[in-house]
Amino acid sequence: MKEIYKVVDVSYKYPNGSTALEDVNLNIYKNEIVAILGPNGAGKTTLLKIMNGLVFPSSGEIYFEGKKLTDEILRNKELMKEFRRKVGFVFQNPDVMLFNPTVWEEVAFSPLHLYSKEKAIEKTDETLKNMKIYHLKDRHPYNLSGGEKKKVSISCILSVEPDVILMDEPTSALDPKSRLEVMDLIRSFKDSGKTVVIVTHDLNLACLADRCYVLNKKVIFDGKVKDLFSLNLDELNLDVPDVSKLFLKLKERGYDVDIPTTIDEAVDYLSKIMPQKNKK
Amino acid sequence: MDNKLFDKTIEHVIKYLNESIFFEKYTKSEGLLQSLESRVKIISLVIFIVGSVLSKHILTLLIFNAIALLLAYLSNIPMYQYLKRVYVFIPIFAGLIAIPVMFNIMTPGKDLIVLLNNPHISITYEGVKYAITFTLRVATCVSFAVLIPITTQWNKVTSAMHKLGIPEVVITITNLAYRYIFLLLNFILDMMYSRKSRAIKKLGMVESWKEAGKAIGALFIKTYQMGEETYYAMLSRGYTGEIKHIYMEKITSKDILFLAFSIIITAILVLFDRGVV
Repeated sequence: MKEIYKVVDVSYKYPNGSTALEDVNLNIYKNEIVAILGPNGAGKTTLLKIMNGLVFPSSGEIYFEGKKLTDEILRNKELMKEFRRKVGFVFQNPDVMLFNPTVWEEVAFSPLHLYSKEKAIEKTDETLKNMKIYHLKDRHPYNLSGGEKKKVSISCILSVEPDVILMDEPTSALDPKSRLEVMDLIRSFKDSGKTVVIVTHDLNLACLADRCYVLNKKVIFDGKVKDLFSLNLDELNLDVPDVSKLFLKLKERGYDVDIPTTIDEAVDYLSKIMPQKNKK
Repeated sequence: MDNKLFDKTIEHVIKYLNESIFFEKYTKSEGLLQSLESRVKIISLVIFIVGSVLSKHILTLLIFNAIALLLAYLSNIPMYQYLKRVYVFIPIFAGLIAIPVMFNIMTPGKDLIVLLNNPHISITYEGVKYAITFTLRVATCVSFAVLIPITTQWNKVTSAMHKLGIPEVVITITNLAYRYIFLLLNFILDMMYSRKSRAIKKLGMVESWKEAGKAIGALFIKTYQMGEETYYAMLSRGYTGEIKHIYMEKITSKDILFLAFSIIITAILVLFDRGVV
């Protein structure tokens, strides 16, 4: 599998001297969904900013498609354009991404910087239609609901068809319907060959991932989401799905059960172990 | 709990939000000014403003005022709201500024009302005339200036400004201010409600101002953090220090006609004002 990101011994200190990341190592491969989990203040957002070339590590190295990401490289206009076209970053707070007077101009912001005028117009209209938000195109971002803002902020990066999408807490502060819509979108990104890195402390969302890392300034876990349950999840302050909590309690009481992460998995598991006569 | 500072702040924030949203809808309605190309509209209205500034006589200013009203009417703007916005608050402030000019100390002339004999302090005819002209001139300029945001979507205003050669940094700052003012007003509103819900006794004036100071500090920190994040969001989407604009409006014969009308009418009125015509 082609390696997209390689993070080697990355440490980051905030200007006040406190440590955000310490010797972080991780690899992201093409067309996989990777979740980066961890409690608040674990350095997840800082790591995403480093991966997006917005800030640079205090020590260590980061490689994108085999090339080292440095401040010098991103000062080169052509290389920077290429990198920005390939990597999209959806910020946690959509309001910081929506700084234009209308939704249309917001979605057109990146294409206008990266493509010709004609192509930018075409890409913007196409993205708005694909995301089913064309009707919002003349609206001021202030007048949008939370779910609409999130969809617009995702559209802002999709308008340049990035190969890699970095998402910071994409379902935070969303109602259940908008949350499901965003989760469906993430699935569709993988189906269309994109690589997705999600930062979250919500295990429901992490269940979409092929692999996950647990970060608390250092990487403390690297593996499948299911294998996470061997860790002390309370200590990590992760948002564990209720269905998983139920099976964890059963396990604590001595039952030999697998831990499902979704309702469907739980239903499948229970259907197998429950006696046939109880089935209606 | 009777905390006037909180209540008044909340009231004004809500009022501002409502007014802004209320007026935004008229930018999309059918009307004369809405149908004009944005650059032509801005230039034409600026010509009227320049004409008003150059006028010295009350009659000329009244004619300019009538033109502004006619344009508002033909643009389907509700007259009551328009008049309230233009002719109530702003001229009151202009009138306050002009008060000292009415006295003989500032503008000597024929006495209208004598206030004191020794020393002689009076309101003069020339002073009152100057104050009225000044207030009317401000009202006229405002009445034309207000027509720009009421009849033009903000993105078109900024794109037109770009086309007219206004420096990019000015446009970017104006754009960001327009975008985030609503968000920050909402933040102030939430902060005020939160304070009100926790206020258990009436605060004295000094205490109120201390609380307001803390709120301003919190808002400053929030704004600073948000500014940094917004800059990162811009960088991450390819921003290199220059905002790209797409200008899709085209100048038609109707626009040229309106521009010619503005130039001719303004020229005639200014010449009339100077006694040439």
